Amino acid sequence: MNLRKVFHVAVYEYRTNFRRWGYLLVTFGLPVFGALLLWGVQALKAHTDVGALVTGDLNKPIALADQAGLFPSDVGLPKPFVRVRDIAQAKTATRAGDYLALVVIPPGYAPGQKVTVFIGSGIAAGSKVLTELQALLLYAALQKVYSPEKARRLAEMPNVDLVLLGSSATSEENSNGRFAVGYALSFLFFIALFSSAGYLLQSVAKEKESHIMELLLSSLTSLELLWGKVLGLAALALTQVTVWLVSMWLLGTQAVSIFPRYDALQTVLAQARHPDPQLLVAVVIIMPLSYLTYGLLMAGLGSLGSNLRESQQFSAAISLIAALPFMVNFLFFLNPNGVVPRVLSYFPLTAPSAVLLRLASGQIPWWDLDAATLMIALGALLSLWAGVRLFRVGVLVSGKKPSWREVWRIVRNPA
Amino acid sequence: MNAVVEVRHLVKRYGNFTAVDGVSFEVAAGQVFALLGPNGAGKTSTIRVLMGILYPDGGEVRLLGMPPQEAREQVGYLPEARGLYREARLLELLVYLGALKGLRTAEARRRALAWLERFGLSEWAERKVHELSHGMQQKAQLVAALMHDPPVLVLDEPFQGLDPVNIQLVKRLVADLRAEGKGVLLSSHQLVHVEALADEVALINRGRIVAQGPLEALRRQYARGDIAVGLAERAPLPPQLPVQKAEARHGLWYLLPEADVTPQEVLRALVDAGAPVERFEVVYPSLEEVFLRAVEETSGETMAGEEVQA
Repeated sequence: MNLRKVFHVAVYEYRTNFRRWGYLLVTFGLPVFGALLLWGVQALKAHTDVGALVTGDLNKPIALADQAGLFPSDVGLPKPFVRVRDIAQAKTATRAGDYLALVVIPPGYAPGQKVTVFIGSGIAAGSKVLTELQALLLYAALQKVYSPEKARRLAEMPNVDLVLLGSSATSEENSNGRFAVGYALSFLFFIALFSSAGYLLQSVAKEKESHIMELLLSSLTSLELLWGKVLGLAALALTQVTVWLVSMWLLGTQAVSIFPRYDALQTVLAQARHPDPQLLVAVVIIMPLSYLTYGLLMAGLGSLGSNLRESQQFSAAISLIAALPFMVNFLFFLNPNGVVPRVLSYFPLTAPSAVLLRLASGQIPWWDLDAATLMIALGALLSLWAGVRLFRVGVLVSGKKPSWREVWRIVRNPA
Repeated sequence: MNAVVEVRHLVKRYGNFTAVDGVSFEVAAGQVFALLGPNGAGKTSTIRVLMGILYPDGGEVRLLGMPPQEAREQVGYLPEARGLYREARLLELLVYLGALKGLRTAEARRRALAWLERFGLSEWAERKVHELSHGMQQKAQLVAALMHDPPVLVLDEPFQGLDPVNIQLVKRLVADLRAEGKGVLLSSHQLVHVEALADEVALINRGRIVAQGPLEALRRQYARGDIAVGLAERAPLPPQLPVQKAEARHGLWYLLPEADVTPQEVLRALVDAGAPVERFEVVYPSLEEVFLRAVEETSGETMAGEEVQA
C-alpha cells in the first residue's frame, strides 16, 4: 500500500468534508447554541428563578383531601400541604397551577393502602409530591407518639448523597455526575461516529454518481482509496468530538461560576475531571474500533449503489440496528447489567452505544467490559473483511442495485 | 519496436461471460494506436485491465515493461465514463489528482496552471466544477490525464462532447504527444477523427480482434478494387468493359472490376473505347467499411443495425 497516496486521500477528504455546511453547523453550532443558552440563562437569572423555568415551580402548595381523618382539623399540616375538602374544586385549581398536586387519602385508609395523587404536569412535580407524601404519612404515624413539632422533625426526609462504587478498589463517584458525563459522552460519540460514517458513505456514493471513481482507481488501488477515506473522516470525527468536549468543559466551568450553589454542576465537572477508568477504555479503545466497524461497512455498502439514494437504502439497516440501545435506553437505566443491555453490548453493531449507556447507568464488571471490547474488535475485523471486499467490487458495479443475496455473494467471493 | 504497451492473449471473464478472449496488441512509443469496436466488444474491459483497475483471467499485460498496478504513475487516463467532484474548485481538484499521480503539491499546482492556460481555462481555476460547461469539464479531465507528463496515454472517447474547435485542439494535442514520443492508445466511435490520427488500429468484436495493422495496410487489405471514374460532359460508360458492376452516383461511375482484372486494365479499356476520362481513382474503404468487412469475414455475421463504436 502506498501510504503517501493514502495520506493525500485522507487530507482531501478531511478538507472537503470539513467545509460542508452540515458539518460546520453541527460541530460549531452546538457549542454556540450552548453558549447562547448559558448567556440567556445568566440574563434571566437576575429576574427570575431559572430552575423553576425548567422544572416548574416545585414550591407551590400541595392540596390534601384527608377523607380518612388522619389529621384532625385542629392540627396544622406541615408545609407544603394545605387542607382541601372539595375535591372537584381542588382538581380545577391543580389544573390551573394553583397547587403542585392534589393528594386524596380515601376514607378508612390504613398503612399500605391506595392513595391517589393528581398532578398538573411534569415528572419533577410527581417525584417531589411522592417524597413529601412519604414524609407526611410518616409524620401522621409519629405524631401519635411524639409532639407535633418533634414528629415533624423526625419525619423530615434526609438530603441523600447517592454514591456509586467505582471500578477501582478505592474510587467512589456521585451517581448523578457519572450519569450526566456517561450519557453525554455516549450521545456525542454516537452522533460523531454516525455523522462521519455517513460522510464516508456519501463520499463513496458521490464518487460513483459523478463517475470520477474510474479516474481515481487509475491512480491508486481501491484499498488505498478506502483507507484514505476512513482515516480522513476519522480525523474529522476526532475534530468534532474535541471541539465538543472542550466547549462543554468551558461552558460547564462558566455554568458553575454562574450557579455557585447548584451542587449538581460541581458534581458533573468533578466527574469529568476524574473520569472512571472504564469510561476511558470505552473512549480510547471502543470508539475507534466502532468507527472502523461502521465506517468500513458504510463504505462497502455505499459503493454498491449507483447513486446516493441507493447507497443510503443499504446503510439504513445498519444505522437502525446501531441506534437500538437508545430506543430501549430505559432498560439500561433500570439495570445496566440486565440481560438486554448485556446482550446488546456483545453484538458488534449495537455494542458501542450499549457499552457507553451501561457505563453511564452504573458500574459494570471488568470481565464484562473486556468481553464486550473483544466482541467489538471481532466486529471491526469482520467489517474490515467484508467492507474491503464489498468496496473492491462495488466501486466498479454499475446499473441495477444488487440484492442482499448478491451482496452476500460478493462478500464471499469478490473476484 | 519500442513497445510501451504490451497486451498478450488477454482474457477477462465475468462469471460465465468472456468479455475479452485472447486479445493481443502493442503500442510503440511515438505511436497513436486506436482500439475500435461496437458496444460490448470488450474495449472497456481491456482498458480497465490495462489501467490496473481489473485483473486479467489470462494472458499478460505490461506497461513500460511493468505490471499495470506498478505503472499507474506512468499512465495518463481519460476514461469513457467521465466525471469530477462537482463541488470541488477546479485547481484544487487538479492538484489533488496530480498528487495521486505522484507529483508534489507545488509542482502539481504549477503544472495544472500551465495546462489550464494552454486549454484557455485559467480564468476558471478557482471556480467550482459544476460551474464549468460540459466541454470545459472534458478539457479539465484531459489536463488531469496529462499534467504528470506520462509516457503513455489512454484516451477513451477523447472527442466526446467537444465542439469542432475543441476537437481540433485535441487532435493537435494528440499529434503533439506523438511527436514528443509518447505512446497513445485511443478509442473513439467518431471514426473520421481516428482515421486522421491513428498510425495503427485494432478492430475488436465480441472480445476478439478481427483486424489489426496500420490503417493504410488495412484499407488495402479490405479494398474490393472499386474504381471511381469521372467522364467529361457526363458521357455514357462504354460497353464491354471488364467489370462486374457499374453504378452511377453523384456524377461518377463506380466500377467493380472482374476477378483478376487490375485497375490499370480497366483504365486501358476505357481509353481504348474512346471514353473522355477526366478522373480515375482506386477507392479504398473507410475505417467503418473495413470494420464491417472484417467482421463479416471472420464470423460470417453482418453488422447491419449495430453502431460501430470504440
